[in-house]
Amino acid sequence: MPTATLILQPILSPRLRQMLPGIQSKKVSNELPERIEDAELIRAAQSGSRTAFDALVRRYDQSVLRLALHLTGSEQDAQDIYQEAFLKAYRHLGSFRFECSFYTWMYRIVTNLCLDQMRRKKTRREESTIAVTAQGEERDLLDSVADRRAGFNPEQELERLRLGDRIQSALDMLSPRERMVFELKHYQGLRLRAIGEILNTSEETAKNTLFRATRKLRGQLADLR
Amino acid sequence: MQCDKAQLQIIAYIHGELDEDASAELELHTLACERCATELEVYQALQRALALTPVEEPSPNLLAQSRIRLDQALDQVHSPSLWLRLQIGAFGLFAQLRSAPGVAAGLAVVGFLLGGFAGQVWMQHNARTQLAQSVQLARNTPVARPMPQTLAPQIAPVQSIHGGALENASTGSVAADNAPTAVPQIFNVSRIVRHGDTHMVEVQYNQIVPQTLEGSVDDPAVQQLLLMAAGNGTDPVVQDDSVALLAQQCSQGRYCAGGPVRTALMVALRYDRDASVRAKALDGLQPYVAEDTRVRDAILESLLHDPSAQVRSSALQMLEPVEADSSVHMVLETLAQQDPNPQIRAASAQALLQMPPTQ
Repeated sequence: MPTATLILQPILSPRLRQMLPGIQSKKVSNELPERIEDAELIRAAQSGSRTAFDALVRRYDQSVLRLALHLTGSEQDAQDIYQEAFLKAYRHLGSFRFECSFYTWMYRIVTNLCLDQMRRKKTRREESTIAVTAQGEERDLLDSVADRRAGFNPEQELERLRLGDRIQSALDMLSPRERMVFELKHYQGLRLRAIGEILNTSEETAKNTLFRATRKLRGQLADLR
Repeated sequence: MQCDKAQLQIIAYIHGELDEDASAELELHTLACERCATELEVYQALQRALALTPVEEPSPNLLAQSRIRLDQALDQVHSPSLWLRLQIGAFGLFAQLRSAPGVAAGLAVVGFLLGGFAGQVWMQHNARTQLAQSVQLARNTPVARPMPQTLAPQIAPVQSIHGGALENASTGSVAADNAPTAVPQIFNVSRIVRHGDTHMVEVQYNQIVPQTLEGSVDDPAVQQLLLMAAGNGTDPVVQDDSVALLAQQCSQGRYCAGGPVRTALMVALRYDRDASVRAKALDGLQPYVAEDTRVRDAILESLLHDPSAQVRSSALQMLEPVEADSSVHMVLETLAQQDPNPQIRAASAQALLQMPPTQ
């Protein structure tokens, strides 16, 4: 008998999806919840199954890469963090005791690596329209403005890019910790309780950091109305 | 609502971290207070601006490239399988040692000392007949069940049969002339050495020595074994029994003060495949719903995901003391609309109606 499946995203409210990290936009089986599948994969990987570990990687690697890419703004750095995070997970999987979800454990590794990277490179970007590709080449985002699609408005697109530039500069003014909490809350949509768990701190501390970050951004971007 | 409180709540509100009642109260306040309304509008404008530059998904090329790089790197990493197998241990032995590094270190030191002593007597010869009797017995006799009072390894230290004599390398004792009443089973043979052209041969082997521990469930050593059994997915019956015992202890308020027992029950509730085990874990966690948010979260997850309606129904009944929690409120709303079981939907809706104001 085929297993009935449902897609969580349209059913759970956004706030609920925030409360339960790791399940966003994923197909979940009613008969065999994903957390149990995770447990099976983890146990198999702990027993040495590379296939099981690869399956775990495939489950979480897109969100890991997205987080690293958005936080570092560099494809090269994001790839390095991605690689180091999963290698660390592979080496230390034996110490995973199921006391939290695998998602939380994995995000702990990734956020620590990102924080290290952000602390090392805590310099403001001079030109935020310049992005670094995986090959280490610099590419000006403004180059992509030339678009010949029907209805495309180059001025509007340029304005959007400039706005993105300003927002990026404002985000760069935050401390690495504030940037991380804001990222996890605003861009990744996690609940403060989950953020506290990932960053090994209390929900209250995460909340205070979020408040501080939001006030700073407001100060930087007050004229955007 | 005072303006000071409203100003504090605006940021939580725009980030969706304010519960519905508090949100309604804030909205009501901003209708009457121009200053707070302006403040709210500023933050809402900030959110709108941020929404214009959403996070983009990594390109398929970047993802594929990252996966290939990772695959190559993983290929070069020494496979942890053997080490992990040793860590996890088919019988849970090494998991126990890992969780008690002092005991592990102690065993290692004792092993070294006894091994050294054994070396001195290693060359002593003994009756060849004893060898034949011992090996024969090891193959054919049932497993002995000694009753030690301490947690001992299930695989005995290496023993050597040298020159036809059976010697215990860990204690140095030589087998007596009289045949033993029972010899533990041999786990494997780890080394064979022939001595020149003589007929002498040295065979090293490991024994499986099942152990039994009897004692009160309050005994820390028994507790430790129960915890180990609760995390051991190899035997569902043993796992079920251990979770039931731990849950009983917890529900009676004994040995469950935020420690490993409570954690073991939360793990069982989240991950165990057997609904009856999850139900037992749930019972054990009941006294801690109000005081421990981790327990509360585990129960909320169970309500949303557990495939067993019975487990979800039990979990629902446990939430009464914490219905003021905004997360509980949200989960109840979802259950009232989405749960496949009509009784649970009705009970959730009823709980929402009777709910006190959220905090």
